[in-house]
Amino acid sequence: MRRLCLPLLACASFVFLGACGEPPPPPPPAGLRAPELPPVPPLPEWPDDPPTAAKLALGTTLFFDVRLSGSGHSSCDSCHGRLTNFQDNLVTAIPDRSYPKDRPALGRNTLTFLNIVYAPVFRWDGSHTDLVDVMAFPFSEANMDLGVDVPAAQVKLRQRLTTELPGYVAAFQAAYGVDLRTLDEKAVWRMAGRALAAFVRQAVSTSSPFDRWNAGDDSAMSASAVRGLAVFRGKGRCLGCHSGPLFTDFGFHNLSTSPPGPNGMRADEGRFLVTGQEADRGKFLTPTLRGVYDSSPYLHDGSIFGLSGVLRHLSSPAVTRDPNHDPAFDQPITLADGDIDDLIDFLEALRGAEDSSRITPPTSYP
Amino acid sequence: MKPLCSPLVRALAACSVSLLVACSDGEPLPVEMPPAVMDLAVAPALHALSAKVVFTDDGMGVPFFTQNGSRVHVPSADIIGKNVFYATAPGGKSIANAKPIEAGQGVIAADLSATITTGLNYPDGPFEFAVFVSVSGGDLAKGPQPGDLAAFDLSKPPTGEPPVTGVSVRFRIKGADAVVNLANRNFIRF
Repeated sequence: MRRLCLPLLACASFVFLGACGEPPPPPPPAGLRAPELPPVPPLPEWPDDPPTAAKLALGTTLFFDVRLSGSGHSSCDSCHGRLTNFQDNLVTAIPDRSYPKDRPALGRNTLTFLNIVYAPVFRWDGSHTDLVDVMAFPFSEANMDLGVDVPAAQVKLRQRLTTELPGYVAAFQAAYGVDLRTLDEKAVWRMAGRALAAFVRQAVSTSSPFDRWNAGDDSAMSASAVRGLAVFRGKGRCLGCHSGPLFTDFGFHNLSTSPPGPNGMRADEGRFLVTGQEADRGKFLTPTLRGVYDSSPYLHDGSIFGLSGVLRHLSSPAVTRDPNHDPAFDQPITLADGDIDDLIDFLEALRGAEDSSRITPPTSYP
Repeated sequence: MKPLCSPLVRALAACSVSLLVACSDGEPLPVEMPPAVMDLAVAPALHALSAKVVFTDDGMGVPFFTQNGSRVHVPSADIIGKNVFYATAPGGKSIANAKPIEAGQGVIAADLSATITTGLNYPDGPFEFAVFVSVSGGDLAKGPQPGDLAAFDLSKPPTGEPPVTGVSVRFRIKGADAVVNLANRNFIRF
């Protein structure tokens, strides 16, 4: 939250990065009540890889196909459940090969896929900046467990898609006009990522009650939610990080959510693991707030059950416990219980109108 | 009943109008019964939820699915005697973020069952019932933790109802008390 005192920069963050190097979206509609929080723009067009029905169908199949996991149990839907706003409501997700090890878990809370198609950077530590790449990456992790690292998983994925599940050859031919069998494992990996990227174009959260209120519909938000917005834009200083159409600056901030222990080490060094920069220790990606009401538990480690706990942390001395904490918090945020209740009502008003139950698993697989 | 010690749980208790918790081997225990405050001339009829949790041990333990689709067996001894935490909320509200209508706890009995009976607090309409067995020894304020058993229902609700929350079981009041029966298949192991 370095820019908490510079609300103009929050406005500027509307011009966020689209996917595939596209030009920035058009300016927000005139007359918004909160112009720094414009509606979600139209989906990016991806002129180099325009979405088609065949690509969507293929991406849907890949998303739900448990045969693409190491054990045959897991799919993308396991952690990014379509019926739960493309996240899992777990503290941390359970990896594909979970047993006999007792209580296994991945290291971090599952981030939602909602509106991921608009994001310029991905994952809690920002390890990825390419949507296609990040879509395929979990195949190399414990999540899907196709290999111990990316190269091993690439070999295995190619084997699955071309030999063990040969029906996928025709599916990729129909969607992309390519014969997977002629591609090396890295190219197959990218093709799978492209198809999954086509799928996540459906994982959007727009047209929330707030968006309708912001456009002038007085009845769209409750009085408490309107008060919560005032806190959000005012003394809560939330806009410093949660600005723009997606309510995130796509930046990395240290909110003392992983402070150093007695040995000086943090349980999770966050952004530092990617950049190696000392200043990035303990920093994590600002998550979108669209759909956040339904994505408990919270923080990178799922350590806080409800939004009230998050807000109490941010407005308590604990937020400065890490020596590397964001200096914006050196000036405390003071929130009364009523402010917190109102803020939660406002965050509830960021639920999108989309019904993800419209997305159904395939009835058959290649 | 355990002492309701955390700030959140105290808050939950404060908002509760009445709270009845029972184990399957005993009578319902009234734990909080403040006088009802309502205008009987206009108040809608209020009803209760009766929920029964019955787990089954298949000989290898009590089987549950995990989020990744694999099935695990939890020893019965790890479940018996553990606290069952629950809370209710208006339909469509996330139990993590809503002001609960009621909250409380019970205990899994030796026969792997527990019964929860709420107060008469529910007019006609949809509501959320969140319930988890704290195998790990946590509390309601922290929510389910790794190793705990939490109930959920992703069934598509009828037209006109809010979407499911993913972290609770939907129940509906239609002029009478609601009954919810939960078994192994309704829970996921965190």
